[in-house]
Amino acid sequence: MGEAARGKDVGSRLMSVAEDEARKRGATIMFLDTFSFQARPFYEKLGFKVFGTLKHGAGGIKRFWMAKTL
Amino acid sequence: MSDGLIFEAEEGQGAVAKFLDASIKAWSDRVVGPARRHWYSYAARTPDGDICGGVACYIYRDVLLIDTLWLDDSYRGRGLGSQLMDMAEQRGRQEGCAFAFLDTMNWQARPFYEKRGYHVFHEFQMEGGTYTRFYMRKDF
Repeated sequence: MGEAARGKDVGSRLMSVAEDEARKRGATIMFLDTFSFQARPFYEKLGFKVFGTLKHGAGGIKRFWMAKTL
Repeated sequence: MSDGLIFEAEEGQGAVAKFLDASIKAWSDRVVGPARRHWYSYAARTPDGDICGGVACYIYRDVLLIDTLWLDDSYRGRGLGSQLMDMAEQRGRQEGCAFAFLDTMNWQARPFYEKRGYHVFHEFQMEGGTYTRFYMRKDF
């Protein structure tokens, strides 16, 4: 999202729209991946749990896979 | 909502999805510094020019993702998959990648990748365990 929209709950609202639509279409699991410099705590607040981690060779970067049962 | 935002839907991977992809990459580069990201692939063609197999790869920073490996049914079991993977990995090594990773479903090619030195670092169960997605890596 644009900088101006951050911290105003727009992210949660978008995720909630996406989740409702996924449920409507019969999905039972939602999953995503995010990097350590991105939004892991945000997704955890929404109920996602990390099921996989991949550490890059350099730069201390990690990639997390997260999932949530719908 | 009082802020007047309108939420609209888009089907498929269209203009909205592309805009979001470009935007998150730009944001990430601002936060952790510019990253290299590029795709490459190798295709095997028949003398008639038809693609009968190929591998598509993506390098992000120091990591090689084997995105897609596909072979036409009649070209399986002849070592073509290994040849393609050799090319993909060699290029990744040349470009300084620390390791390669991929995901594969339980009905796909896990044993093939294991023979090549990949090991499962995570698995993900879908539909109550009916399907499993394996995440595999190989260090260079």
